[in-house]
Amino acid sequence: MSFLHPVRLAFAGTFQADVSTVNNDVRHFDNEAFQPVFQQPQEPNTLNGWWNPEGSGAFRLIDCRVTAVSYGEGESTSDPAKDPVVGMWIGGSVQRTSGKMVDIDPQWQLASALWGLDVRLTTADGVDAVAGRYKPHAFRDLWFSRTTGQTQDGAASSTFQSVLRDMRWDDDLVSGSQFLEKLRGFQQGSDLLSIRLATFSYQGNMKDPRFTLGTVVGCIGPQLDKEPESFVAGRRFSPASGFSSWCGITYFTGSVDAGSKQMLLDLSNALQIVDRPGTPNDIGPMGVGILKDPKLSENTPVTPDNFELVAHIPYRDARWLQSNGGVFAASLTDDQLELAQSNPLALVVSGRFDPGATGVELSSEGIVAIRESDDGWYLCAEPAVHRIDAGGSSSFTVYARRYGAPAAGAAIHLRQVGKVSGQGGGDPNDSNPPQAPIPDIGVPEEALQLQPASATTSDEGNLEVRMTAAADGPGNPRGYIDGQIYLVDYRLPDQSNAARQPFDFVVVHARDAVPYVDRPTWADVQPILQQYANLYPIMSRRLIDLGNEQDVLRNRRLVALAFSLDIEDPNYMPVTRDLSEGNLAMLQRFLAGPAPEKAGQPEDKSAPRAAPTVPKQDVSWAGPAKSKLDFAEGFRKATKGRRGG
Amino acid sequence: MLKIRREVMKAVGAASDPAELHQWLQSAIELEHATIPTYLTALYSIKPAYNEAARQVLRSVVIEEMLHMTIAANLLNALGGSPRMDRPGFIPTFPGPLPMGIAGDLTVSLRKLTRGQVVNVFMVIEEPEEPLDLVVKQPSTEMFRAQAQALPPAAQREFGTIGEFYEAISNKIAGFGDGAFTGDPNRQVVDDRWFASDELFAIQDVKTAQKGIGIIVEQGEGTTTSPEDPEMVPAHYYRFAEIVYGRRLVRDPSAPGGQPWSFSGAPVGLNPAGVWNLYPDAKSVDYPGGSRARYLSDQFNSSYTNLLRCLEETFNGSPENLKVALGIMIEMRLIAQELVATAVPGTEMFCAPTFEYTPVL
Repeated sequence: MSFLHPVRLAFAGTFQADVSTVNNDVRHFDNEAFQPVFQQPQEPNTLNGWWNPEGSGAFRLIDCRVTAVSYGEGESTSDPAKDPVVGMWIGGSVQRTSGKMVDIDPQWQLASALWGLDVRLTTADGVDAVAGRYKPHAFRDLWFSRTTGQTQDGAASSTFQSVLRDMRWDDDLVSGSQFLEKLRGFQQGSDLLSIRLATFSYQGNMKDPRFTLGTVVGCIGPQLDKEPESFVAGRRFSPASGFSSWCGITYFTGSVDAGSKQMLLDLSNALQIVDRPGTPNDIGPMGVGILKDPKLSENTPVTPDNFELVAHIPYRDARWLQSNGGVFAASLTDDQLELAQSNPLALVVSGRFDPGATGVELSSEGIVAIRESDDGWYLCAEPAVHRIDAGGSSSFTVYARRYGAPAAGAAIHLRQVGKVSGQGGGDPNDSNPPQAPIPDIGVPEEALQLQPASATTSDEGNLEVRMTAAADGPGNPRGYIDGQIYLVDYRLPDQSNAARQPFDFVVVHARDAVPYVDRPTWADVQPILQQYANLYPIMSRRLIDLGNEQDVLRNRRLVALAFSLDIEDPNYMPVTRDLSEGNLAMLQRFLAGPAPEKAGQPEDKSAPRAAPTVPKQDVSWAGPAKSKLDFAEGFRKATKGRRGG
Repeated sequence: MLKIRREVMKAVGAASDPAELHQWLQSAIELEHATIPTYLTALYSIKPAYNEAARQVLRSVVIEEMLHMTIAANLLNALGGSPRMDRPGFIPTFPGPLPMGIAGDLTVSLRKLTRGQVVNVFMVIEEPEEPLDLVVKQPSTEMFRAQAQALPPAAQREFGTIGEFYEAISNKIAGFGDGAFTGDPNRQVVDDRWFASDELFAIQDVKTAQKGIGIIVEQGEGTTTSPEDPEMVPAHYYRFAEIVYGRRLVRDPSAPGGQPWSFSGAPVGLNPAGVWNLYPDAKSVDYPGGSRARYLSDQFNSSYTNLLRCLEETFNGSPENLKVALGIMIEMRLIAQELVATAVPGTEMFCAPTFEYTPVL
C-alpha cells in the first residue's frame, strides 16, 4: 500500500539533479592516468568529463505544488477551498543544504539514491505544515524509452520511493485540513510517511535553460507497519519481454485495498509520454480489469468471458499525471474484489493504436496492454544498496508476494551474478579515451558470502539474507578504485528474466581492508584526496583543492568538518559516500590539527592560492548527454543470455 | 560614515531595564548582517584566479562581519532576548539605507567590485569618526584619499555614529550590572574551530559584553590612534582603502605626516578583466521566468533564506547548528559562482545575486 493508499496526496513540479559526471567513467578514478581535460565538458569526438563535470550533486524539488488529496473511500478534491493543502508547496531541504543524488559506484550506475533530502509541505509563506527527512533508497524501474522522440536521459524515467522520517507536524495547519488530520491519524506507532517521486524529462544539455532540471510527479501517503519502504509489495505488472510491453508500458505496481474496495495503480512511471510535462502517449482508450483466464497473455484480445473490466483510465486528459501524481484508483464491486484476490490484473487498450496491425478488427474490449506477472508473483528486496567494509556485514529482506498477499514457504534462490567485464567506461569511438583499463566487477566471489544462499520465506512471506565481507576485504581487485562491486540476484527457482525488472539486483560495494597508520602523513592520504580532487572539479576549482597539501592544511578545519559528518548529512564528504571506514579514520587522524588563527586572517590569506586552471566557459558544443542508457546497454550486453543479466 | 538616527541613541539611553535593550541589539544584529550582501556581491563578482589580494580583503571583512553578527546575537541572548533572522524584514532593501541609518544619507547597493563601489559605499559604511590621514605613495590613486573632517560635538549633531551607538549600549549594560545577564548560557554560540576564543566567547557579564562590543567597534573602525585592530590587522575602513590605493597598508616609520603607516606594501591590484560585469542592484524579476538566470537566482535566494532559518535556530538554543550554517554558506557560494557567470538574457551583463527572502522554491 504505502503511498498507494486510499488516503494520499498528489503533487507535481520540477526537480533538479545537478549530478557530477567526471565520475561516470571508472577510468577517471585512476590518478596516474588522469588528464586535466577530463574535467572539461564533452566535445563532439571525446567525452572528456562528460556532460556536467562541475555538477554539485544537488537534488532539489522546485515549483512543486499539491494538486489533489484523496481521503479514502473514493473521495478526493483538487479544490483549495475544500482543503487548504491543495495548492501548498512541496519543498526540499530547509535550514541545511540541498539533498544529493548519488550513484554507489561508476561500475553500477543503475541504483542512484537521494541523500540528505528534506521534504516539506509548506504554505506560500514557507510555514511547514508537515516536514520530514527522506530516507536514502535507490531509484527503481528505470527505463530509457519513456519519452517518444527523445534519446538518452531525456527519454528516461524512474521512481524514487522511500519513507519520510523525523516527522514534524504543525498542529494549527493540520487541524485546518481534513486530509492532514486523516494522514496524521495513521501515525500511531509509526512515525513515517511513504513518498514516491516519478522523475522524467531530464534536460542534460548544458546549453538549455533547463539544464539539470526535469519533471516530477509525486505522491505521499501513510507508511504502515511491516511495509517495505522503497517499493509497494503489491500487484506487479510486467511486460512479456524487455523493458516495456508491446504498446510501450513498463513495469509498475498496483494494489487492491479490501477495506475501501479500491484498486490502485501506480502509473506515474508506466506509460510513455510525448512531451516535457508528461502528456501520455495516446494509445487509444484504456481500461483496467481482472483476467478471469489467468493464462491470457499480453497482446491478446479479451472478451467478456475471459476479462472483467473494472474501469476506464482517462490517461489522455490534460495534465493527467500532474492531477493525480500518477495514481489511478477505481472502485471494485464485491465480486470484483473477490475475483482480484486470485486472478491477475491487466490493462487493456482498444481503438486506433495497433502497431502490429493485421487488418483484423479488434474485439470491443480491446487487447491486453500489459498484465500482472504469472501467478501474481512479485519478489523484491530492500535495502537494494549496501556499503560493506572489510569484515563487516549487512542484510536485506526479500519480500515474496502472490496477488499482493504474503507468500509463505516460497523457495528463494540467491546467487551472485559473478564476473561482469567492461562496466562504466565511455564511448568506444572516443578520440581521447582514458588510458586506464576497465576492471571486472563481481570477483572474487568468495570475498562476499550470502547466508542463506537458498531458503524459504517466513509466514509473513519474507526472507532475511545476510551478506558478510571477507575479513581482509575483496583484496583490491580493481586496483585504482577501492573495493569491488557485487550484484546479487534473487528469484524463484524457475523464474524467468522477464518476470523481473532487469536492474532489480541487490548491489554491494565491498570495500578494501585498510592497514592502520598511526600518524598518517600527506603521502598516506594524498591518493585518496587526489582522486576526489580529480573527480569533483566543483570542489577542487572553486573551494579547496584536495590534491594540494597546502590548500588542505590551510582549510583543514573545514575539510575535517566535512569528513566528520553523519553519512546522511547532505554535506557529507565524499558526496559519493564511497570512502571506507579505514580510509576515513586515517583522513580524520591526518586532519586533526591545531587551534584556529584569527578570524581577520582567513585561512587562505596567509599565502595566495596558486591560480587554478580557468575552466572553459564557452561550451561551443553541447550534444545530448551521455547517459545511464549507455551504462545500462553495456551491462545488458555483457550479461546477455545469462540469468540475472 | 554611517549616520545613526538620533532617536536611536536617545532610546538606548532611556532604556530602564535590559529588556528594553532587546530591540536595539536586534537592530545591531540586523546592521551587522546588512553589510554582508553588499560585500559578498563584490566578492562574488571576482572571477576565479583574478584579483586575489582584493578577494582576500573582501573575504576577511565578510568573515568579521559574521563574527560581529554572532557577537551581537550572543549579547542579545545573554540579556534574555531571542535573535530573529528568519523573516523578510531582516534583509534590507537594496539599494537603500542600512538599519537605523538616516534615510537618504547612504545608499547601499549590490554591485560588482569597483574602486567607486569601495569608496562610495564600503568605506562610507566603515568610516571611523576621525579617519586617520594616512600616506598614499601611489599618486595616481591619491584622488580617492580620505579627507578627515572634524565632527561637531555630539550634542550639536543630528545623528549619532556607530561607535556612539555601541558605546551607549555598553554604558547601559554597565549601568544594569551583571544581574542583567539572565539569558540561558547554553544559547551562547561559541566555536573555536571558526573563530579564535579571544574573539568569540560566551557573553555572561558586563566584562565579556564590553569586550565583545569592543571587538565589533575596533575591527570595524580601528582606534583613534591606530588603523589596526587589537589583532594588528587593519580595520575594515583601512583594509578597504587598500583596494582603492592599490597597496597594502604597512608600518612605515618614514611616512611623512606623523602617522607611522602608509599604503606602500604589496600591490592590491584590481584588474577589471577579472571582474564579472554584474547587472547592478538586480532583483529576481529582472531575470525572465524560465531562464537559466532566474533558476539560479531563485536557488541562491532559497539557499540564503535557508541560511537565515538555520541561523535563527542556531541562535535560539541549537548552537551546534553553526556547522550546518557553514555548509549552507558554501552552497550559496557555489551557486553564486555559477550565477555570476550566467549572462542576463538579452544583455552584455551578468547576473548578480539579489538577496531576497525566498522561503519556498
